Amino acid sequence: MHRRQALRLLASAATLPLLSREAFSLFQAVHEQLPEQPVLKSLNPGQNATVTTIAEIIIPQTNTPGAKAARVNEFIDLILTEWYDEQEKSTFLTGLAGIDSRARDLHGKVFVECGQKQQVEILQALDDEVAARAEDVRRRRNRPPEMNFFFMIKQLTLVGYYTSQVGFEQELHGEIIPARHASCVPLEEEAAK
Amino acid sequence: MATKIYDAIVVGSGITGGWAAKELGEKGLQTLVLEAGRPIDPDADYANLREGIGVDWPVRYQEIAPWYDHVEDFIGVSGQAEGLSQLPDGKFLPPMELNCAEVVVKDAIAKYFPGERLMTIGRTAILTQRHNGRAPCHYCGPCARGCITRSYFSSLNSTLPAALATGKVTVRPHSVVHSLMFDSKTRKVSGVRIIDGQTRQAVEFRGRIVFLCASALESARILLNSVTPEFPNGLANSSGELGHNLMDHCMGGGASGRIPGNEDHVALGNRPNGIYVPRFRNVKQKHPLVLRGYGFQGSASRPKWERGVEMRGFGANFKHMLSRPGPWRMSFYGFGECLPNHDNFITIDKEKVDAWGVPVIK
Repeated sequence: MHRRQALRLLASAATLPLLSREAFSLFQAVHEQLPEQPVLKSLNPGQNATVTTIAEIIIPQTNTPGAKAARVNEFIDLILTEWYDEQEKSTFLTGLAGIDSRARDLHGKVFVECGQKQQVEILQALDDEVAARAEDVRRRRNRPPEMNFFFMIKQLTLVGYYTSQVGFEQELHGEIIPARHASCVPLEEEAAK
Repeated sequence: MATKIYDAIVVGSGITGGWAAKELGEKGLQTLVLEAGRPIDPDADYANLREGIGVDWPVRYQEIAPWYDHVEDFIGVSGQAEGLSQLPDGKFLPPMELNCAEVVVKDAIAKYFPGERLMTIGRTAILTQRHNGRAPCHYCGPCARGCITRSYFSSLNSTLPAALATGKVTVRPHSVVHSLMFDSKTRKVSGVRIIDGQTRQAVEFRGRIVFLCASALESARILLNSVTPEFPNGLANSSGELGHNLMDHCMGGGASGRIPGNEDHVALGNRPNGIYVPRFRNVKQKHPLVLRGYGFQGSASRPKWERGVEMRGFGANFKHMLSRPGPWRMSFYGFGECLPNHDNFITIDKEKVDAWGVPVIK
């Protein structure tokens, strides 16, 4: 599987569970590619701070680590640098700048300087817009490529988090080699394992 | 120039080449395997005769059935016997199991299409119990990376080791086959011309018989490149049909949806197999619009975090929700039968050669 295919699959991952397993290992390899010390190639420090903050709001630290601990910002930087084409990268970075414009219009300061409640409200509005757009696409029964900033960053945050060692092992209790197999067993018995 | 004359030369060490090497070696023939391309999937069907499409195959299923058994006994095929004429049974190892939602769908199909449509577990050359010294599948998942327990049948896992064990078989890798040699005195193929992939030297091997097991396209390419004064259009091409009538599955169509229920159950491990809905069109009665038929492959599963990409929400509750499996979903993908068509063909590109100087196909 190629990177472009894997990216395309993401938007329909819920309906293609079998294929996403192959894509999964591709994204997992991105984490192994990250250097020990963070080196950013596409995001400047200001953009990195915004991406880190948004990712942590999408997947926060709870009783398990969140997006920041899983180095999702660095994952996103690498995808922007090596996986995205120029147009996708530009859509992402323009959308990222748009977050600060919204924050300035509403609260007179950039996103990372807003309070957490204000930040959540801004992202909530964007999430609502994505949902409305998706509903519109569903109604018209066609599926144009998704090029919306919040859809992109939410997608990259989820993929970056759940394919990281932190997300896969600590949050999902996933195993690379399953300890056993069964066709239909009670969920609670599995959870208690 | 090699002077040794082998009893047999096998071109290709894939599924068929592996088998040819094993059989020939076990019969005591000094055999040389020239390593090349991918497996081919021979088939026999007499619908061509009935429908006047292409040409009638000169062999019938009854003639081949014992050979299927011969092969399946050795490689091990898991599956569920269903007694269908359109999907004959073999000597199966125990079937892999359907998961919770697949059982729901199977029962519903049986209820709404009794005696007409059926869903069964895929038949697959992956072991479900120990067989000929190979271990059963442990459901790890990434079969495509190579199966360390040798549960997944391949020539490397199964037939080639058996062939080499006869002591009669030599495998020569890095052998890019250029063409077959033809002896105009005996009017027989007398050997194989190769380019060594490492030294780039042309080398010839002589053999009494040659098995071309180099995959559909490569085998045709080798024959088309085997030009002699007697056969200016390539060997085995007096009909002009060589390289024509290419067939593959026509894929597309399908459906997916949520299967309610079994919310408190999950499937564990990565089953390397899906479900199969065998062809049901034109089996018992002729369909007015559809010629022949199509089958479905698919599976059911419970997506975990992946579903979050298309769901509304974020934050701690969202994260908690994604740590649990979502509802069961079942997907089907259609696989149709492609008919032979003279205009669907490959030929030799006279302008272009590959890295070893062998003319490529277009």
